[in-house]
Amino acid sequence: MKEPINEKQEAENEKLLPIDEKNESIKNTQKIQSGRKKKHKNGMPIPAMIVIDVALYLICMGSFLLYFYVLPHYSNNKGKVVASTDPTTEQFSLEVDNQESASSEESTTEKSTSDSTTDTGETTSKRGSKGEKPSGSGRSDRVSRNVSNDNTSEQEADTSAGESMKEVDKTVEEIQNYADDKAKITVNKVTTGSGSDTVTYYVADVQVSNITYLRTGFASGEYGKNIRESVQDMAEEYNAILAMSGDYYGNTDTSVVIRNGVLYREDITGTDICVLFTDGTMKTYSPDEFDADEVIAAGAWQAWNFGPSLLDEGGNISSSFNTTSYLNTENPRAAIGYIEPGHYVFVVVDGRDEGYSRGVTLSELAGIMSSLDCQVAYNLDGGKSSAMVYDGEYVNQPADGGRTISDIIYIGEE
Amino acid sequence: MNTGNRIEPLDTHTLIQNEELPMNNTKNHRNIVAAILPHIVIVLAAMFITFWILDQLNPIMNFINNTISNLLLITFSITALINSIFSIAWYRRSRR
Repeated sequence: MKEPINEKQEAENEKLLPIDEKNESIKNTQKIQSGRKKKHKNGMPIPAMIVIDVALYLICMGSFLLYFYVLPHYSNNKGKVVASTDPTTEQFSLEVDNQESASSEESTTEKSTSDSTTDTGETTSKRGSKGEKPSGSGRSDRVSRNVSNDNTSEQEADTSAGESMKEVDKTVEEIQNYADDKAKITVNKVTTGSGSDTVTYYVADVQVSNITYLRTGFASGEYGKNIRESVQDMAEEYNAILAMSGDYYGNTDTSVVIRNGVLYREDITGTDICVLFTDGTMKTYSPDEFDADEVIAAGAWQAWNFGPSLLDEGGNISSSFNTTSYLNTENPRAAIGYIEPGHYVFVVVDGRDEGYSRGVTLSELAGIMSSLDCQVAYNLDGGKSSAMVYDGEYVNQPADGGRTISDIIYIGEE
Repeated sequence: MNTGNRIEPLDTHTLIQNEELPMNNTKNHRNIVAAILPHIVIVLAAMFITFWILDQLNPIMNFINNTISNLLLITFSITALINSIFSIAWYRRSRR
Protein backbone atom coordinates (compact mmCIF):
# COMPACT_ATOMS: atom_id res chain seq x y z
CA MET A 1 0.00 0.00 0.00
CA LYS A 2 1.45 3.22 -1.01
CA GLU A 3 1.63 5.96 1.53
CA PRO A 4 -0.12 9.25 0.51
CA ILE A 5 2.40 11.81 -0.59
CA ASN A 6 2.17 14.69 1.83
CA GLU A 7 2.30 18.32 0.73
CA LYS A 8 5.75 18.89 2.05
CA GLN A 9 7.13 16.05 0.05
CA GLU A 10 5.22 17.29 -3.01
CA ALA A 11 6.79 20.72 -2.70
CA GLU A 12 10.19 19.22 -2.38
CA ASN A 13 9.58 17.10 -5.41
CA GLU A 14 8.50 20.17 -7.37
CA LYS A 15 11.72 21.91 -6.49
CA LEU A 16 13.63 19.07 -8.02
CA LEU A 17 11.70 19.24 -11.29
CA PRO A 18 13.57 20.36 -14.37
CA ILE A 19 13.10 24.09 -15.25
CA ASP A 20 10.87 23.42 -18.25
CA GLU A 21 8.47 21.25 -16.33
CA LYS A 22 8.46 23.69 -13.46
CA ASN A 23 7.63 26.61 -15.70
CA GLU A 24 4.93 24.55 -17.32
CA SER A 25 3.49 23.77 -13.91
CA ILE A 26 3.45 27.42 -12.96
CA LYS A 27 1.89 28.36 -16.27
CA ASN A 28 -0.89 25.84 -15.74
CA THR A 29 -1.52 27.15 -12.23
CA GLN A 30 -1.59 30.71 -13.48
CA LYS A 31 -3.98 29.80 -16.26
CA ILE A 32 -6.36 28.16 -13.85
CA GLN A 33 -6.18 31.16 -11.53
CA SER A 34 -6.56 33.72 -14.35
CA GLY A 35 -9.44 31.70 -15.74
CA ARG A 36 -11.19 32.04 -12.42
CA LYS A 37 -10.35 35.76 -12.33
CA LYS A 38 -11.59 36.28 -15.88
CA LYS A 39 -14.88 34.76 -14.89
CA HIS A 40 -15.18 37.39 -12.19
CA LYS A 41 -13.94 40.21 -14.53
CA ASN A 42 -16.61 39.47 -17.11
CA GLY A 43 -19.14 39.01 -14.31
CA MET A 44 -21.42 42.03 -15.02
CA PRO A 45 -24.11 40.96 -17.45
CA ILE A 46 -24.76 43.12 -20.49
CA PRO A 47 -28.29 44.20 -19.49
CA ALA A 48 -26.88 45.53 -16.21
CA MET A 49 -24.24 47.50 -18.13
CA ILE A 50 -26.93 48.95 -20.39
CA VAL A 51 -29.05 49.96 -17.42
CA ILE A 52 -26.08 51.64 -15.75
CA ASP A 53 -25.20 53.54 -18.94
CA VAL A 54 -28.78 54.69 -19.40
CA ALA A 55 -28.94 55.79 -15.79
CA LEU A 56 -25.70 57.72 -16.15
CA TYR A 57 -27.00 59.35 -19.31
CA LEU A 58 -30.22 60.41 -17.61
CA ILE A 59 -28.34 61.78 -14.63
CA CYS A 60 -25.95 63.77 -16.83
CA MET A 61 -28.70 65.10 -19.10
CA GLY A 62 -30.85 65.97 -16.11
CA SER A 63 -27.97 67.80 -14.45
CA PHE A 64 -27.21 69.70 -17.63
CA LEU A 65 -30.80 70.74 -18.19
CA LEU A 66 -31.23 71.68 -14.55
CA TYR A 67 -28.12 73.83 -14.47
CA PHE A 68 -28.46 75.37 -17.89
CA TYR A 69 -32.19 75.92 -18.20
CA VAL A 70 -33.70 75.91 -14.74
CA LEU A 71 -31.40 77.31 -12.10
CA PRO A 72 -31.25 81.10 -12.21
CA HIS A 73 -27.87 82.63 -12.96
CA TYR A 74 -27.69 86.16 -11.72
CA SER A 75 -25.11 88.15 -13.60
CA ASN A 76 -22.77 90.84 -12.34
CA ASN A 77 -23.04 92.43 -15.75
CA LYS A 78 -24.66 95.81 -15.19
CA GLY A 79 -24.35 96.67 -18.86
CA LYS A 80 -22.86 99.62 -20.63
CA VAL A 81 -24.91 102.69 -21.44
CA VAL A 82 -24.82 103.14 -25.20
CA ALA A 83 -27.74 105.47 -25.79
CA SER A 84 -29.65 108.02 -23.85
CA THR A 85 -32.29 110.56 -24.60
CA ASP A 86 -33.96 113.35 -22.69
CA PRO A 87 -37.24 111.98 -21.41
CA THR A 88 -38.69 115.44 -20.94
CA THR A 89 -38.63 116.47 -24.59
CA GLU A 90 -41.55 115.81 -26.88
CA GLN A 91 -40.04 113.84 -29.74
CA PHE A 92 -43.31 112.85 -31.36
CA SER A 93 -46.78 114.31 -31.37
CA LEU A 94 -49.59 112.14 -30.26
CA GLU A 95 -52.26 111.67 -32.89
CA VAL A 96 -55.78 112.72 -32.01
CA ASP A 97 -58.55 110.57 -33.46
CA ASN A 98 -60.56 112.30 -36.16
CA GLN A 99 -63.57 110.11 -35.52
CA GLU A 100 -65.17 109.48 -32.17
CA SER A 101 -63.48 106.63 -30.48
CA ALA A 102 -65.67 103.59 -30.05
CA SER A 103 -67.23 102.95 -26.70
CA SER A 104 -65.70 100.17 -24.76
CA GLU A 105 -68.30 97.61 -25.83
CA GLU A 106 -68.89 98.68 -29.38
CA SER A 107 -68.07 96.17 -32.07
CA THR A 108 -67.42 96.88 -35.69
CA THR A 109 -67.03 94.52 -38.51
CA GLU A 110 -64.43 95.50 -41.00
CA LYS A 111 -63.62 94.05 -44.36
CA SER A 112 -60.23 95.62 -44.55
CA THR A 113 -57.95 96.24 -41.69
CA SER A 114 -57.12 99.88 -42.22
CA ASP A 115 -57.22 101.83 -39.04
CA SER A 116 -59.89 104.46 -39.06
CA THR A 117 -57.72 107.08 -37.41
CA THR A 118 -56.45 109.83 -39.62
CA ASP A 119 -54.28 112.86 -39.08
CA THR A 120 -56.08 115.97 -38.02
CA GLY A 121 -53.48 118.45 -38.96
CA GLU A 122 -51.69 118.27 -35.71
CA THR A 123 -48.72 116.65 -37.30
CA THR A 124 -45.54 118.50 -36.67
CA SER A 125 -42.27 118.55 -38.43
CA LYS A 126 -40.92 116.12 -35.87
CA ARG A 127 -43.09 113.36 -37.17
CA GLY A 128 -42.74 111.42 -40.35
CA SER A 129 -45.78 110.74 -42.44
CA LYS A 130 -47.34 107.36 -42.50
CA GLY A 131 -45.64 105.05 -44.87
CA GLU A 132 -42.30 106.76 -44.65
CA LYS A 133 -39.58 104.22 -44.42
CA PRO A 134 -37.46 104.30 -41.34
CA SER A 135 -34.06 105.83 -41.57
CA GLY A 136 -31.50 103.45 -42.92
CA SER A 137 -32.04 100.98 -45.66
CA GLY A 138 -34.61 98.90 -43.86
CA ARG A 139 -34.47 95.20 -44.20
CA SER A 140 -32.70 94.08 -47.27
CA ASP A 141 -34.08 91.38 -49.49
CA ARG A 142 -33.40 87.93 -48.29
CA VAL A 143 -30.73 85.94 -49.95
CA SER A 144 -30.03 82.37 -49.19
CA ARG A 145 -27.13 81.99 -46.87
CA ASN A 146 -25.51 79.47 -44.65
CA VAL A 147 -25.77 80.32 -41.01
CA SER A 148 -23.24 78.20 -39.27
CA ASN A 149 -24.24 78.68 -35.70
CA ASP A 150 -27.79 77.42 -35.70
CA ASN A 151 -30.34 75.48 -37.63
CA THR A 152 -32.59 78.21 -38.93
CA SER A 153 -33.04 78.39 -42.62
CA GLU A 154 -35.14 80.26 -45.11
CA GLN A 155 -38.64 78.93 -44.68
CA GLU A 156 -40.83 79.77 -47.61
CA ALA A 157 -43.74 81.94 -46.58
CA ASP A 158 -47.29 81.01 -47.42
CA THR A 159 -48.14 84.39 -48.85
CA SER A 160 -51.66 83.35 -49.79
CA ALA A 161 -52.40 82.50 -46.18
CA GLY A 162 -50.90 85.80 -45.15
CA GLU A 163 -52.95 87.72 -47.69
CA SER A 164 -56.13 85.98 -46.69
CA MET A 165 -55.51 86.91 -43.06
CA LYS A 166 -55.13 90.46 -44.28
CA GLU A 167 -58.38 90.47 -46.19
CA VAL A 168 -60.59 88.30 -44.04
CA ASP A 169 -63.65 89.74 -42.29
CA LYS A 170 -62.79 90.86 -38.82
CA THR A 171 -64.77 91.74 -35.77
CA VAL A 172 -63.01 94.54 -33.93
CA GLU A 173 -63.88 95.47 -30.39
CA GLU A 174 -62.12 98.22 -28.52
CA ILE A 175 -61.47 97.04 -24.99
CA GLN A 176 -59.07 99.57 -23.54
CA ASN A 177 -58.26 103.16 -24.16
CA TYR A 178 -55.67 105.35 -22.50
CA ALA A 179 -54.37 108.79 -23.25
CA ASP A 180 -52.20 111.34 -21.55
CA ASP A 181 -49.56 113.75 -22.71
CA LYS A 182 -46.95 111.01 -22.84
CA ALA A 183 -48.67 108.04 -24.40
CA LYS A 184 -51.82 107.05 -26.19
CA ILE A 185 -52.88 103.44 -26.16
CA THR A 186 -55.84 101.73 -27.74
CA VAL A 187 -56.33 98.01 -27.27
CA ASN A 188 -58.61 96.19 -29.67
CA LYS A 189 -59.77 92.63 -29.64
CA VAL A 190 -59.98 91.25 -33.17
CA THR A 191 -61.75 88.04 -34.08
CA THR A 192 -61.70 86.34 -37.45
CA GLY A 193 -63.10 83.10 -38.81
CA SER A 194 -65.51 80.77 -37.11
CA GLY A 195 -65.60 77.38 -35.53
CA SER A 196 -62.26 75.63 -35.51
CA ASP A 197 -60.85 78.32 -37.78
CA THR A 198 -61.44 81.12 -35.26
CA VAL A 199 -58.49 83.35 -34.58
CA THR A 200 -58.53 85.88 -31.76
CA TYR A 201 -55.84 88.44 -31.38
CA TYR A 202 -55.24 91.67 -29.52
CA VAL A 203 -53.79 94.78 -31.04
CA ALA A 204 -52.40 97.52 -28.86
CA ASP A 205 -51.95 100.65 -30.93
CA VAL A 206 -49.31 102.63 -29.09
CA GLN A 207 -48.18 106.18 -29.59
CA VAL A 208 -45.54 107.76 -27.41
CA SER A 209 -44.34 111.32 -27.23
CA ASN A 210 -40.84 110.23 -26.27
CA ILE A 211 -39.05 107.01 -27.04
CA THR A 212 -38.13 106.54 -23.38
CA TYR A 213 -41.74 105.58 -22.69
CA LEU A 214 -41.32 102.45 -24.79
CA ARG A 215 -39.27 100.48 -22.34
CA THR A 216 -38.22 96.93 -21.53
CA GLY A 217 -37.89 95.28 -18.16
CA PHE A 218 -36.14 92.22 -16.78
CA ALA A 219 -37.71 89.65 -14.52
CA SER A 220 -36.99 90.54 -10.91
CA GLY A 221 -35.22 93.62 -12.22
CA GLU A 222 -32.09 91.57 -12.79
CA TYR A 223 -30.18 90.66 -15.91
CA GLY A 224 -29.20 87.01 -16.06
CA LYS A 225 -30.14 83.58 -17.27
CA ASN A 226 -33.18 81.58 -16.20
CA ILE A 227 -34.56 84.46 -14.17
CA ARG A 228 -38.28 84.40 -14.79
CA GLU A 229 -41.44 86.13 -13.74
CA SER A 230 -44.91 86.38 -15.17
CA VAL A 231 -45.74 89.28 -17.46
CA GLN A 232 -48.31 90.42 -14.93
CA ASP A 233 -45.79 90.54 -12.09
CA MET A 234 -43.24 92.37 -14.18
CA ALA A 235 -45.86 94.86 -15.35
CA GLU A 236 -46.71 95.57 -11.73
CA GLU A 237 -43.05 95.90 -10.80
CA TYR A 238 -42.47 98.49 -13.51
CA ASN A 239 -45.79 100.28 -13.13
CA ALA A 240 -46.52 99.54 -16.74
CA ILE A 241 -49.65 100.87 -18.36
CA LEU A 242 -49.33 98.23 -21.04
CA ALA A 243 -46.92 95.28 -21.15
CA MET A 244 -46.23 92.47 -23.57
CA SER A 245 -43.92 89.47 -23.48
CA GLY A 246 -40.48 90.11 -24.92
CA ASP A 247 -37.92 87.94 -26.66
CA TYR A 248 -37.15 85.72 -23.65
CA TYR A 249 -33.46 86.61 -23.81
CA GLY A 250 -32.81 84.72 -20.56
CA ASN A 251 -33.39 81.39 -22.23
CA THR A 252 -30.08 81.54 -23.99
CA ASP A 253 -26.67 83.08 -23.42
CA THR A 254 -25.88 84.22 -26.93
CA SER A 255 -28.56 86.63 -28.06
CA VAL A 256 -27.98 90.36 -28.38
CA VAL A 257 -29.44 92.34 -25.49
CA ILE A 258 -29.77 96.11 -25.54
CA ARG A 259 -32.37 97.41 -23.14
CA ASN A 260 -33.30 101.01 -22.47
CA GLY A 261 -30.07 102.16 -24.05
CA VAL A 262 -27.89 99.75 -22.07
CA LEU A 263 -25.85 97.10 -23.83
CA TYR A 264 -25.67 93.81 -21.95
CA ARG A 265 -24.63 91.42 -24.64
CA GLU A 266 -23.46 91.69 -28.24
CA ASP A 267 -23.48 88.03 -29.33
CA ILE A 268 -26.18 87.06 -31.75
CA THR A 269 -27.95 83.84 -32.53
CA GLY A 270 -28.70 82.81 -36.09
CA THR A 271 -32.05 84.55 -36.04
CA ASP A 272 -33.07 88.04 -37.12
CA ILE A 273 -32.45 91.02 -34.86
CA CYS A 274 -34.79 93.96 -34.33
CA VAL A 275 -33.46 97.32 -33.20
CA LEU A 276 -35.46 100.29 -31.99
CA PHE A 277 -33.47 103.50 -32.19
CA THR A 278 -33.64 106.59 -30.05
CA ASP A 279 -35.07 108.54 -32.98
CA GLY A 280 -38.09 106.27 -32.86
CA THR A 281 -37.33 104.27 -35.98
CA MET A 282 -37.16 100.50 -36.04
CA LYS A 283 -35.13 98.24 -38.25
CA THR A 284 -34.59 94.52 -38.56
CA TYR A 285 -31.37 92.79 -39.51
CA SER A 286 -30.41 89.33 -40.59
CA PRO A 287 -27.53 87.78 -38.62
CA ASP A 288 -25.18 88.50 -41.52
CA GLU A 289 -26.16 92.15 -41.71
CA PHE A 290 -26.08 92.95 -38.03
CA ASP A 291 -23.17 95.01 -36.77
CA ALA A 292 -23.36 95.80 -33.09
CA ASP A 293 -21.00 98.77 -33.31
CA GLU A 294 -22.98 100.25 -36.15
CA VAL A 295 -26.33 100.04 -34.41
CA ILE A 296 -24.87 101.37 -31.19
CA ALA A 297 -23.41 104.30 -33.06
CA ALA A 298 -26.82 104.92 -34.62
CA GLY A 299 -28.41 105.13 -31.16
CA ALA A 300 -29.85 101.71 -30.38
CA TRP A 301 -32.44 102.03 -27.66
CA GLN A 302 -33.72 98.45 -27.66
CA ALA A 303 -32.54 95.30 -29.45
CA TRP A 304 -34.29 91.97 -29.56
CA ASN A 305 -32.98 88.72 -30.96
CA PHE A 306 -35.78 86.25 -31.55
CA GLY A 307 -37.33 86.80 -34.92
CA PRO A 308 -37.98 86.36 -37.69
CA SER A 309 -38.69 89.63 -39.36
CA LEU A 310 -42.13 89.38 -40.94
CA LEU A 311 -42.25 92.08 -43.61
CA ASP A 312 -40.08 93.13 -46.46
CA GLU A 313 -38.94 96.66 -47.28
CA GLY A 314 -42.25 97.61 -48.76
CA GLY A 315 -44.19 96.52 -45.69
CA ASN A 316 -45.48 93.45 -47.51
CA ILE A 317 -45.37 89.90 -46.31
CA SER A 318 -41.85 88.49 -46.66
CA SER A 319 -41.43 85.73 -49.20
CA SER A 320 -39.48 83.67 -46.67
CA PHE A 321 -38.70 83.64 -42.97
CA ASN A 322 -35.42 82.92 -41.27
CA THR A 323 -36.68 80.28 -38.86
CA THR A 324 -37.19 76.56 -38.43
CA SER A 325 -40.05 74.58 -39.87
CA TYR A 326 -40.92 73.54 -36.34
CA LEU A 327 -41.64 77.15 -35.35
CA ASN A 328 -43.47 77.95 -38.58
CA THR A 329 -46.72 76.30 -37.46
CA GLU A 330 -49.96 77.50 -35.93
CA ASN A 331 -49.19 78.84 -32.51
CA PRO A 332 -49.97 81.68 -30.15
CA ARG A 333 -47.83 84.62 -31.25
CA ALA A 334 -46.50 87.94 -30.10
CA ALA A 335 -45.10 90.60 -32.37
CA ILE A 336 -44.09 94.23 -32.35
CA GLY A 337 -44.75 96.47 -35.33
CA TYR A 338 -43.47 99.85 -36.41
CA ILE A 339 -45.69 102.27 -38.28
CA GLU A 340 -43.74 105.47 -37.96
CA PRO A 341 -41.48 107.08 -35.37
CA GLY A 342 -43.39 107.15 -32.12
CA HIS A 343 -46.16 104.91 -33.41
CA TYR A 344 -46.04 101.18 -32.80
CA VAL A 345 -48.30 98.18 -32.42
CA PHE A 346 -48.09 95.31 -30.00
CA VAL A 347 -49.91 92.23 -31.24
CA VAL A 348 -50.65 89.09 -29.27
CA VAL A 349 -52.45 86.20 -30.94
CA ASP A 350 -54.01 83.56 -28.75
CA GLY A 351 -53.91 79.93 -29.78
CA ARG A 352 -54.11 76.24 -28.95
CA ASP A 353 -57.75 76.72 -28.04
CA GLU A 354 -59.98 75.48 -30.82
CA GLY A 355 -63.14 77.47 -31.09
CA TYR A 356 -61.62 80.50 -29.39
CA SER A 357 -58.34 80.85 -31.27
CA ARG A 358 -56.36 78.26 -33.18
CA GLY A 359 -53.22 80.34 -33.38
CA VAL A 360 -51.50 81.53 -36.54
CA THR A 361 -48.52 80.68 -38.67
CA LEU A 362 -45.78 83.22 -39.26
CA SER A 363 -47.25 83.98 -42.67
CA GLU A 364 -50.62 84.75 -41.15
CA LEU A 365 -48.97 86.84 -38.46
CA ALA A 366 -47.17 88.75 -41.19
CA GLY A 367 -50.54 89.29 -42.85
CA ILE A 368 -51.93 90.69 -39.61
CA MET A 369 -49.01 93.07 -39.17
CA SER A 370 -49.19 94.16 -42.79
CA SER A 371 -52.90 94.85 -42.39
CA LEU A 372 -52.05 97.20 -39.52
CA ASP A 373 -49.93 99.33 -41.87
CA CYS A 374 -46.70 98.26 -40.27
CA GLN A 375 -43.52 99.07 -42.13
CA VAL A 376 -41.48 96.76 -39.94
CA ALA A 377 -42.79 93.80 -37.97
CA TYR A 378 -40.88 91.44 -35.80
CA ASN A 379 -41.92 88.15 -34.26
CA LEU A 380 -41.27 87.71 -30.55
CA ASP A 381 -41.44 84.67 -28.32
CA GLY A 382 -44.74 82.89 -28.86
CA GLY A 383 -46.49 79.86 -27.50
CA LYS A 384 -47.22 79.99 -23.82
CA SER A 385 -45.00 83.06 -23.49
CA SER A 386 -47.37 85.30 -25.46
CA ALA A 387 -49.12 87.61 -23.07
CA MET A 388 -50.40 91.16 -22.91
CA VAL A 389 -51.24 92.97 -19.70
CA TYR A 390 -53.07 96.26 -19.42
CA ASP A 391 -53.30 98.06 -16.12
CA GLY A 392 -52.26 94.94 -14.24
CA GLU A 393 -54.74 92.56 -15.84
CA TYR A 394 -54.26 90.09 -18.63
CA VAL A 395 -55.79 91.21 -21.89
CA ASN A 396 -55.41 87.91 -23.70
CA GLN A 397 -55.75 84.31 -22.60
CA PRO A 398 -52.21 82.86 -22.51
CA ALA A 399 -52.08 79.27 -23.72
CA ASP A 400 -52.12 76.70 -20.93
CA GLY A 401 -52.10 79.48 -18.36
CA GLY A 402 -48.98 81.07 -19.78
CA ARG A 403 -45.47 80.81 -18.42
CA THR A 404 -42.95 82.89 -16.60
CA ILE A 405 -40.47 84.63 -18.90
CA SER A 406 -37.40 86.77 -18.60
CA ASP A 407 -38.45 90.15 -19.99
CA ILE A 408 -41.25 92.39 -21.12
CA ILE A 409 -41.79 95.33 -23.43
CA TYR A 410 -43.91 97.96 -21.78
CA ILE A 411 -45.22 101.48 -21.92
CA GLY A 412 -44.46 103.43 -18.83
CA GLU A 413 -42.05 105.77 -17.20
CA GLU A 414 -38.64 104.93 -15.83
CA MET B 1 18.70 14.39 -4.98
CA ASN B 2 18.38 15.52 -8.55
CA THR B 3 21.72 15.89 -10.15
CA GLY B 4 20.42 16.00 -13.72
CA ASN B 5 18.67 19.17 -14.74
CA ARG B 6 19.77 22.46 -13.39
CA ILE B 7 17.12 24.23 -11.39
CA GLU B 8 17.05 27.95 -11.83
CA PRO B 9 14.93 30.44 -9.93
CA LEU B 10 12.11 31.83 -12.03
CA ASP B 11 12.89 35.16 -13.68
CA THR B 12 10.38 37.74 -12.39
CA HIS B 13 11.02 40.05 -15.29
CA THR B 14 10.30 37.26 -17.74
CA LEU B 15 7.13 36.36 -15.95
CA ILE B 16 5.91 39.97 -15.99
CA GLN B 17 6.74 40.29 -19.65
CA ASN B 18 4.84 37.13 -20.40
CA GLU B 19 1.96 38.46 -18.28
CA GLU B 20 2.04 35.44 -16.07
CA LEU B 21 2.51 37.20 -12.76
CA PRO B 22 -0.54 38.72 -11.06
CA MET B 23 -1.10 42.23 -12.43
CA ASN B 24 0.77 45.06 -10.84
CA ASN B 25 -0.85 48.38 -9.81
CA THR B 26 -0.08 50.23 -13.03
CA LYS B 27 -1.78 47.64 -15.12
CA ASN B 28 -4.71 47.58 -12.71
CA HIS B 29 -5.26 51.32 -13.15
CA ARG B 30 -4.88 51.05 -16.88
CA ASN B 31 -7.47 48.32 -17.08
CA ILE B 32 -9.91 50.23 -14.91
CA VAL B 33 -9.57 53.28 -17.14
CA ALA B 34 -9.94 51.15 -20.24
CA ALA B 35 -13.12 49.67 -18.79
CA ILE B 36 -14.69 53.01 -17.84
CA LEU B 37 -13.78 55.06 -20.92
CA PRO B 38 -16.18 53.39 -23.36
CA HIS B 39 -19.05 54.10 -21.01
CA ILE B 40 -18.09 57.76 -20.75
CA VAL B 41 -17.97 57.91 -24.54
CA ILE B 42 -21.38 56.25 -24.78
CA VAL B 43 -22.98 58.67 -22.31
CA LEU B 44 -21.47 61.77 -23.94
CA ALA B 45 -22.38 60.56 -27.42
CA ALA B 46 -25.97 59.99 -26.33
CA MET B 47 -26.06 63.46 -24.81
CA PHE B 48 -24.87 65.08 -28.02
CA ILE B 49 -27.34 63.16 -30.10
CA THR B 50 -30.04 64.48 -27.76
CA PHE B 51 -28.66 68.01 -28.06
CA TRP B 52 -28.68 67.77 -31.83
CA ILE B 53 -32.30 66.60 -31.91
CA LEU B 54 -33.41 69.33 -29.51
CA ASP B 55 -31.47 71.92 -31.50
CA GLN B 56 -33.29 70.89 -34.66
CA LEU B 57 -36.60 71.45 -32.90
CA ASN B 58 -35.75 74.69 -31.16
CA PRO B 59 -32.49 76.39 -32.15
CA ILE B 60 -33.37 79.40 -30.07
CA MET B 61 -32.51 77.51 -26.91
CA ASN B 62 -29.00 76.96 -28.20
CA PHE B 63 -28.38 73.44 -26.96
CA ILE B 64 -25.23 72.94 -28.98
CA ASN B 65 -23.29 76.16 -29.10
CA ASN B 66 -23.18 77.12 -25.43
CA THR B 67 -20.35 77.10 -22.90
CA ILE B 68 -21.28 73.85 -21.18
CA SER B 69 -21.91 71.98 -24.41
CA ASN B 70 -18.54 73.11 -25.70
CA LEU B 71 -16.89 71.80 -22.53
CA LEU B 72 -18.70 68.49 -22.89
CA LEU B 73 -17.64 68.33 -26.51
CA ILE B 74 -13.96 68.65 -25.71
CA THR B 75 -14.34 66.04 -22.96
CA PHE B 76 -16.08 63.77 -25.43
CA SER B 77 -13.32 64.25 -27.97
CA ILE B 78 -10.53 63.50 -25.52
CA THR B 79 -12.18 60.41 -24.06
CA ALA B 80 -12.99 59.12 -27.53
CA LEU B 81 -9.38 59.67 -28.55
CA ILE B 82 -7.97 57.84 -25.53
CA ASN B 83 -10.52 55.08 -25.89
CA SER B 84 -9.57 54.61 -29.53
CA ILE B 85 -5.88 54.41 -28.65
CA PHE B 86 -6.65 51.76 -26.06
CA SER B 87 -8.73 49.83 -28.57
CA ILE B 88 -6.01 49.92 -31.18
CA ALA B 89 -3.37 48.84 -28.68
CA TRP B 90 -5.51 45.95 -27.42
CA TYR B 91 -6.31 44.87 -30.96
CA ARG B 92 -2.68 44.86 -31.98
CA ARG B 93 -1.67 42.97 -28.86
CA SER B 94 -4.35 40.38 -29.37
CA ARG B 95 -3.11 39.74 -32.88
CA ARG B 96 0.41 38.89 -31.75
